[in-house]
Amino acid sequence: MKAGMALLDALKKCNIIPESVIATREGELITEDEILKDGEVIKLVAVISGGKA
Amino acid sequence: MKCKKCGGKASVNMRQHRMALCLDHFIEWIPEQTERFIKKYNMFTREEKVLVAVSGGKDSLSLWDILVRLGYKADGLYLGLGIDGELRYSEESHRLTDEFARRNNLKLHVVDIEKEYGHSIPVLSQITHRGYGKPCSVCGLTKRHEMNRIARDLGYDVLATGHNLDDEAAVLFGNTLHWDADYLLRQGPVLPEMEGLARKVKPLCRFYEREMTAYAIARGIEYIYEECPFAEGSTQIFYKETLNQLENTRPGVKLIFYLSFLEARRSGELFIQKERVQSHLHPCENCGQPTSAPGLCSFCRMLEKADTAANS
Repeated sequence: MKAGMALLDALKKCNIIPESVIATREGELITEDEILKDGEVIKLVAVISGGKA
Repeated sequence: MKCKKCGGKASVNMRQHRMALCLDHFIEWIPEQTERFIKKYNMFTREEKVLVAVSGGKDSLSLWDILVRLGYKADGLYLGLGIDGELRYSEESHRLTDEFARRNNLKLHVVDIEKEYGHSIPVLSQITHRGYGKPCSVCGLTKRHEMNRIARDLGYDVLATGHNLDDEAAVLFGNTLHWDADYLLRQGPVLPEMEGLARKVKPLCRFYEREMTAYAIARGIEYIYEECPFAEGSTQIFYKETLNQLENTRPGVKLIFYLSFLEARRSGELFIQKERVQSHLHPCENCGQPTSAPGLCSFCRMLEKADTAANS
Protein backbone atom coordinates (compact mmCIF):
# COMPACT_ATOMS: atom_id res chain seq x y z
CA MET A 1 0.00 0.00 0.00
CA LYS A 2 1.08 3.55 -0.61
CA ALA A 3 1.95 5.79 2.30
CA GLY A 4 -0.60 8.56 2.77
CA MET A 5 -3.51 6.34 1.91
CA ALA A 6 -6.42 6.02 4.37
CA LEU A 7 -6.93 2.59 5.93
CA LEU A 8 -10.45 2.44 4.46
CA ASP A 9 -9.10 2.88 0.93
CA ALA A 10 -6.41 0.28 1.55
CA LEU A 11 -9.04 -2.22 2.71
CA LYS A 12 -11.17 -1.51 -0.36
CA LYS A 13 -8.14 -2.02 -2.58
CA CYS A 14 -7.63 -5.46 -1.00
CA ASN A 15 -11.35 -6.29 -1.35
CA ILE A 16 -11.72 -6.53 2.42
CA ILE A 17 -15.08 -5.47 3.84
CA PRO A 18 -14.28 -3.03 6.67
CA GLU A 19 -17.12 -4.53 8.74
CA SER A 20 -15.31 -7.87 8.83
CA VAL A 21 -12.08 -6.68 10.48
CA ILE A 22 -10.65 -4.63 13.32
CA ALA A 23 -7.35 -2.93 12.59
CA THR A 24 -4.54 -2.40 15.06
CA ARG A 25 -1.23 -0.55 14.86
CA GLU A 26 1.35 -1.63 17.43
CA GLY A 27 -1.46 -3.22 19.45
CA GLU A 28 -3.63 -0.07 19.46
CA LEU A 29 -7.08 -0.05 17.87
CA ILE A 30 -7.33 2.36 14.93
CA THR A 31 -10.27 3.71 12.95
CA GLU A 32 -10.63 3.45 9.17
CA ASP A 33 -9.79 7.11 8.48
CA GLU A 34 -6.27 6.54 9.82
CA ILE A 35 -3.57 7.48 7.30
CA LEU A 36 -1.04 4.75 6.61
CA LYS A 37 2.62 5.61 7.06
CA ASP A 38 5.58 4.32 5.16
CA GLY A 39 6.92 0.99 6.39
CA GLU A 40 4.46 0.45 9.22
CA VAL A 41 2.61 -2.81 9.92
CA ILE A 42 -1.15 -2.79 10.33
CA LYS A 43 -2.63 -5.95 11.85
CA LEU A 44 -6.13 -6.91 10.76
CA VAL A 45 -8.12 -9.07 13.17
CA ALA A 46 -10.97 -11.03 11.57
CA VAL A 47 -14.15 -10.60 13.58
CA ILE A 48 -16.40 -13.38 12.26
CA SER A 49 -16.72 -16.62 14.14
CA GLY A 50 -19.26 -19.40 13.93
CA GLY A 51 -20.45 -22.34 15.92
CA LYS A 52 -22.46 -21.11 18.90
CA ALA A 53 -25.15 -23.49 20.14
CA MET B 1 -11.97 10.67 13.79
CA LYS B 2 -12.81 12.04 17.23
CA CYS B 3 -14.39 10.50 20.31
CA LYS B 4 -18.00 11.63 20.62
CA LYS B 5 -17.67 11.93 24.38
CA CYS B 6 -14.34 13.69 24.94
CA GLY B 7 -13.16 14.85 21.53
CA GLY B 8 -9.95 12.82 21.87
CA LYS B 9 -8.59 10.46 19.23
CA ALA B 10 -11.16 7.74 18.46
CA SER B 11 -10.24 4.06 18.59
CA VAL B 12 -13.51 2.45 17.49
CA ASN B 13 -15.99 3.75 14.95
CA MET B 14 -19.55 2.39 15.08
CA ARG B 15 -21.19 3.53 11.89
CA GLN B 16 -24.58 2.07 12.86
CA HIS B 17 -24.68 4.50 15.81
CA ARG B 18 -22.89 7.32 13.98
CA MET B 19 -20.53 7.33 16.90
CA ALA B 20 -16.80 6.90 17.39
CA LEU B 21 -15.24 6.50 20.83
CA CYS B 22 -11.76 6.64 22.30
CA LEU B 23 -10.44 3.55 24.05
CA ASP B 24 -11.41 4.62 27.58
CA HIS B 25 -14.93 5.67 26.64
CA PHE B 26 -15.45 2.54 24.52
CA ILE B 27 -14.43 0.32 27.47
CA GLU B 28 -16.95 2.20 29.62
CA TRP B 29 -19.71 2.28 27.00
CA ILE B 30 -19.89 -1.50 26.45
CA PRO B 31 -20.78 -2.41 30.08
CA GLU B 32 -23.16 0.59 30.31
CA GLN B 33 -25.05 -0.65 27.27
CA THR B 34 -24.97 -4.25 28.50
CA GLU B 35 -26.55 -3.13 31.76
CA ARG B 36 -29.21 -1.30 29.76
CA PHE B 37 -30.05 -4.45 27.75
CA ILE B 38 -30.10 -6.65 30.88
CA LYS B 39 -32.69 -4.31 32.40
CA LYS B 40 -34.65 -3.65 29.21
CA TYR B 41 -35.24 -7.35 28.56
CA ASN B 42 -35.55 -8.30 32.27
CA MET B 43 -32.72 -10.78 31.97
CA PHE B 44 -31.66 -11.08 35.61
CA THR B 45 -31.01 -9.11 38.78
CA ARG B 46 -27.93 -8.62 40.94
CA GLU B 47 -29.37 -11.04 43.48
CA GLU B 48 -29.56 -13.90 40.98
CA LYS B 49 -26.79 -16.41 40.27
CA VAL B 50 -25.64 -16.36 36.65
CA LEU B 51 -23.82 -19.18 34.87
CA VAL B 52 -21.90 -17.92 31.84
CA ALA B 53 -21.24 -20.48 29.11
CA VAL B 54 -17.60 -19.81 28.17
CA SER B 55 -15.91 -21.30 25.15
CA GLY B 56 -12.60 -19.44 25.22
CA GLY B 57 -13.80 -17.22 22.38
CA LYS B 58 -13.95 -13.40 22.36
CA ASP B 59 -17.68 -13.11 22.99
CA SER B 60 -18.12 -15.42 25.97
CA LEU B 61 -14.94 -14.27 27.74
CA SER B 62 -15.90 -10.63 27.14
CA LEU B 63 -19.40 -11.32 28.48
CA TRP B 64 -17.94 -12.83 31.64
CA ASP B 65 -15.59 -9.85 31.99
CA ILE B 66 -18.45 -7.35 31.55
CA LEU B 67 -20.81 -9.08 34.01
CA VAL B 68 -18.10 -9.22 36.66
CA ARG B 69 -17.20 -5.56 36.06
CA LEU B 70 -20.88 -4.71 36.51
CA GLY B 71 -20.94 -6.54 39.83
CA TYR B 72 -23.10 -9.53 38.90
CA LYS B 73 -22.61 -12.92 40.54
CA ALA B 74 -21.32 -14.75 37.50
CA ASP B 75 -19.52 -18.10 37.39
CA GLY B 76 -18.31 -19.83 34.23
CA LEU B 77 -19.03 -23.15 32.59
CA TYR B 78 -16.61 -24.64 30.09
CA LEU B 79 -17.59 -27.74 28.11
CA GLY B 80 -14.70 -29.86 26.86
CA LEU B 81 -15.85 -31.00 23.43
CA GLY B 82 -12.78 -33.03 22.45
CA ILE B 83 -12.26 -31.16 19.17
CA ASP B 84 -8.53 -31.40 18.81
CA GLY B 85 -6.55 -32.60 15.81
CA GLU B 86 -3.63 -30.48 14.67
CA LEU B 87 -5.02 -27.24 16.08
CA ARG B 88 -5.59 -28.69 19.58
CA TYR B 89 -8.70 -26.51 19.47
CA SER B 90 -10.43 -27.74 22.64
CA GLU B 91 -7.18 -27.98 24.58
CA GLU B 92 -6.22 -24.41 23.70
CA SER B 93 -9.68 -22.95 24.33
CA HIS B 94 -9.76 -24.71 27.73
CA ARG B 95 -6.33 -23.31 28.58
CA LEU B 96 -7.37 -19.75 27.71
CA THR B 97 -10.64 -20.03 29.65
CA ASP B 98 -8.84 -21.45 32.66
CA GLU B 99 -6.25 -18.72 32.46
CA PHE B 100 -8.93 -16.01 32.30
CA ALA B 101 -10.75 -17.46 35.34
CA ARG B 102 -7.53 -17.77 37.33
CA ARG B 103 -6.30 -14.28 36.50
CA ASN B 104 -9.62 -12.75 37.54
CA ASN B 105 -10.15 -15.05 40.50
CA LEU B 106 -13.43 -16.42 39.11
CA LYS B 107 -15.15 -19.76 39.60
CA LEU B 108 -15.11 -22.02 36.54
CA HIS B 109 -16.96 -25.33 36.21
CA VAL B 110 -15.46 -27.69 33.67
CA VAL B 111 -17.33 -30.63 32.14
CA ASP B 112 -15.54 -32.93 29.74
CA ILE B 113 -18.03 -34.57 27.38
CA GLU B 114 -15.83 -37.63 26.75
CA LYS B 115 -15.35 -38.25 30.48
CA GLU B 116 -19.05 -37.71 31.10
CA TYR B 117 -20.47 -39.78 28.23
CA GLY B 118 -17.61 -41.92 26.95
CA HIS B 119 -17.18 -40.19 23.57
CA SER B 120 -15.91 -36.84 22.32
CA ILE B 121 -18.15 -34.72 20.05
CA PRO B 122 -16.47 -35.81 16.76
CA VAL B 123 -16.71 -39.49 17.79
CA LEU B 124 -20.34 -39.14 18.88
CA SER B 125 -21.12 -37.60 15.52
CA GLN B 126 -19.31 -40.35 13.66
CA ILE B 127 -20.95 -43.28 15.42
CA THR B 128 -24.44 -41.82 15.44
CA HIS B 129 -24.27 -40.68 11.78
CA ARG B 130 -25.84 -37.34 12.68
CA GLY B 131 -25.07 -34.12 10.82
CA TYR B 132 -24.05 -35.11 7.28
CA GLY B 133 -20.41 -35.80 8.12
CA LYS B 134 -19.97 -32.69 10.32
CA PRO B 135 -20.26 -32.78 14.12
CA CYS B 136 -21.96 -29.35 14.37
CA SER B 137 -25.49 -30.63 15.02
CA VAL B 138 -24.26 -33.12 17.65
CA CYS B 139 -22.17 -30.33 19.17
CA GLY B 140 -25.14 -27.93 19.34
CA LEU B 141 -27.47 -30.57 20.77
CA THR B 142 -24.92 -31.64 23.39
CA LYS B 143 -24.03 -28.09 24.42
CA ARG B 144 -27.68 -27.09 24.84
CA HIS B 145 -28.42 -30.23 26.86
CA GLU B 146 -25.36 -29.96 29.09
CA MET B 147 -25.62 -26.21 29.69
CA ASN B 148 -29.21 -26.67 30.81
CA ARG B 149 -28.43 -29.73 32.94
CA ILE B 150 -25.54 -28.07 34.74
CA ALA B 151 -27.28 -24.73 35.28
CA ARG B 152 -30.18 -26.56 36.92
CA ASP B 153 -28.13 -29.14 38.83
CA LEU B 154 -25.90 -26.46 40.34
CA GLY B 155 -28.80 -24.17 41.25
CA TYR B 156 -28.09 -21.22 38.92
CA ASP B 157 -30.99 -18.87 38.22
CA VAL B 158 -29.98 -18.12 34.68
CA LEU B 159 -27.68 -19.29 31.92
CA ALA B 160 -25.97 -16.53 29.89
CA THR B 161 -24.41 -17.05 26.47
CA GLY B 162 -22.19 -14.72 24.43
CA HIS B 163 -24.36 -14.48 21.31
CA ASN B 164 -23.76 -11.12 19.63
CA LEU B 165 -25.94 -9.30 17.10
CA ASP B 166 -24.21 -10.89 14.12
CA ASP B 167 -24.95 -14.35 15.55
CA GLU B 168 -28.58 -13.41 16.09
CA ALA B 169 -28.96 -11.70 12.71
CA ALA B 170 -27.45 -14.72 10.92
CA VAL B 171 -29.86 -17.10 12.64
CA LEU B 172 -32.74 -14.75 11.90
CA PHE B 173 -31.66 -14.50 8.28
CA GLY B 174 -31.61 -18.30 7.93
CA ASN B 175 -34.98 -18.73 9.63
CA THR B 176 -36.48 -15.97 7.49
CA LEU B 177 -35.20 -17.56 4.28
CA HIS B 178 -37.10 -20.68 5.32
CA TRP B 179 -40.00 -18.80 6.96
CA ASP B 180 -39.62 -21.11 9.88
CA ALA B 181 -42.27 -19.66 12.16
CA ASP B 182 -41.54 -22.05 15.03
CA TYR B 183 -37.89 -21.07 15.21
CA LEU B 184 -38.69 -17.40 14.63
CA LEU B 185 -41.06 -17.35 17.58
CA ARG B 186 -38.41 -18.87 19.82
CA GLN B 187 -35.65 -16.39 18.97
CA GLY B 188 -35.05 -13.53 21.38
CA PRO B 189 -32.75 -12.05 24.01
CA VAL B 190 -34.45 -14.14 26.72
CA LEU B 191 -35.80 -17.67 26.66
CA PRO B 192 -37.93 -17.81 29.79
CA GLU B 193 -37.58 -20.54 32.35
CA MET B 194 -39.96 -23.45 31.82
CA GLU B 195 -40.50 -26.76 33.55
CA GLY B 196 -37.15 -28.54 33.14
CA LEU B 197 -35.49 -25.66 31.29
CA ALA B 198 -33.30 -22.96 32.82
CA ARG B 199 -33.81 -19.33 31.75
CA LYS B 200 -31.40 -18.46 28.93
CA VAL B 201 -30.24 -14.94 28.18
CA LYS B 202 -28.05 -13.20 25.61
CA PRO B 203 -26.82 -9.91 27.11
CA LEU B 204 -24.59 -9.11 24.09
CA CYS B 205 -27.33 -9.58 21.51
CA ARG B 206 -27.30 -5.92 20.45
CA PHE B 207 -23.55 -5.54 19.96
CA TYR B 208 -21.95 -6.11 16.58
CA GLU B 209 -19.35 -8.87 16.45
CA ARG B 210 -16.86 -6.19 15.45
CA GLU B 211 -17.50 -4.31 18.70
CA MET B 212 -16.99 -7.46 20.74
CA THR B 213 -13.69 -8.11 19.00
CA ALA B 214 -12.63 -4.53 19.73
CA TYR B 215 -13.69 -4.93 23.36
CA ALA B 216 -11.69 -8.15 23.81
CA ILE B 217 -8.60 -6.49 22.31
CA ALA B 218 -9.10 -3.28 24.30
CA ARG B 219 -9.42 -5.22 27.57
CA GLY B 220 -6.42 -7.41 26.77
CA ILE B 221 -8.52 -10.57 26.88
CA GLU B 222 -6.61 -13.49 25.39
CA TYR B 223 -9.10 -15.54 23.41
CA ILE B 224 -8.94 -18.36 20.93
CA TYR B 225 -8.53 -16.67 17.58
CA GLU B 226 -8.60 -19.80 15.45
CA GLU B 227 -11.99 -20.86 14.22
CA CYS B 228 -13.38 -24.26 15.22
CA PRO B 229 -12.05 -26.48 12.40
CA PHE B 230 -15.56 -27.73 11.70
CA ALA B 231 -17.06 -24.22 11.32
CA GLU B 232 -15.17 -23.58 8.10
CA GLY B 233 -17.59 -23.13 5.22
CA SER B 234 -20.60 -23.16 7.56
CA THR B 235 -23.91 -21.64 6.53
CA GLN B 236 -23.84 -19.34 9.56
CA ILE B 237 -20.53 -17.81 8.48
CA PHE B 238 -21.83 -17.40 4.93
CA TYR B 239 -24.90 -15.55 6.25
CA LYS B 240 -22.69 -13.32 8.41
CA GLU B 241 -20.52 -12.41 5.42
CA THR B 242 -23.60 -11.70 3.34
CA LEU B 243 -25.05 -9.44 6.04
CA ASN B 244 -21.72 -7.63 6.36
CA GLN B 245 -21.83 -6.84 2.65
CA LEU B 246 -25.24 -5.25 3.18
CA GLU B 247 -23.96 -3.43 6.26
CA ASN B 248 -21.06 -2.05 4.31
CA THR B 249 -23.33 -0.15 1.96
CA ARG B 250 -26.18 0.41 4.41
CA PRO B 251 -24.69 1.01 7.88
CA GLY B 252 -27.10 -0.12 10.57
CA VAL B 253 -29.01 -2.61 8.45
CA LYS B 254 -28.09 -5.59 10.66
CA LEU B 255 -29.24 -3.77 13.78
CA ILE B 256 -32.51 -2.68 12.14
CA PHE B 257 -33.12 -6.21 10.82
CA TYR B 258 -32.82 -7.69 14.32
CA LEU B 259 -34.56 -4.94 16.31
CA SER B 260 -37.46 -4.66 13.86
CA PHE B 261 -37.92 -8.41 14.11
CA LEU B 262 -38.00 -8.26 17.93
CA GLU B 263 -40.56 -5.46 17.77
CA ALA B 264 -42.71 -7.28 15.19
CA ARG B 265 -42.62 -10.41 17.30
CA ARG B 266 -43.43 -8.52 20.49
CA SER B 267 -46.34 -6.63 18.99
CA GLY B 268 -47.73 -9.69 17.24
CA GLU B 269 -47.73 -7.83 13.91
CA LEU B 270 -46.13 -10.59 11.92
CA PHE B 271 -46.95 -13.77 13.73
CA ILE B 272 -49.85 -15.08 15.64
CA GLN B 273 -48.26 -16.09 18.89
CA LYS B 274 -49.28 -19.66 19.35
CA GLU B 275 -50.15 -20.69 22.87
CA ARG B 276 -46.80 -21.94 24.00
CA VAL B 277 -48.37 -24.55 26.19
CA GLN B 278 -46.15 -27.33 27.26
CA SER B 279 -48.83 -29.97 26.97
CA HIS B 280 -46.93 -31.64 24.14
CA LEU B 281 -43.72 -31.64 26.17
CA HIS B 282 -43.02 -34.33 28.71
CA PRO B 283 -39.95 -35.31 30.71
CA CYS B 284 -37.45 -37.57 28.97
CA GLU B 285 -37.57 -41.08 30.46
CA ASN B 286 -33.84 -41.00 31.09
CA CYS B 287 -32.65 -37.47 31.98
CA GLY B 288 -35.95 -35.76 32.79
CA GLN B 289 -35.39 -32.73 30.52
CA PRO B 290 -38.45 -31.69 28.48
CA THR B 291 -38.92 -33.31 25.09
CA SER B 292 -41.63 -33.49 22.47
CA ALA B 293 -40.53 -36.93 21.26
CA PRO B 294 -42.12 -39.95 22.91
CA GLY B 295 -39.82 -41.71 25.40
CA LEU B 296 -36.28 -40.35 25.24
CA CYS B 297 -35.16 -36.81 24.28
CA SER B 298 -32.94 -36.30 21.22
CA PHE B 299 -29.79 -36.14 23.34
CA CYS B 300 -30.48 -39.43 25.17
CA ARG B 301 -31.53 -41.11 21.91
CA MET B 302 -28.22 -40.03 20.41
CA LEU B 303 -26.34 -41.48 23.40
CA GLU B 304 -28.32 -44.72 23.16
CA LYS B 305 -27.41 -44.98 19.50
CA ALA B 306 -23.76 -44.26 20.30
CA ASP B 307 -23.71 -47.04 22.95
CA THR B 308 -25.32 -49.53 20.58
CA ALA B 309 -22.85 -48.64 17.83
CA ALA B 310 -19.87 -48.76 20.19
CA ASN B 311 -20.86 -52.16 21.57
CA SER B 312 -21.64 -53.80 18.23
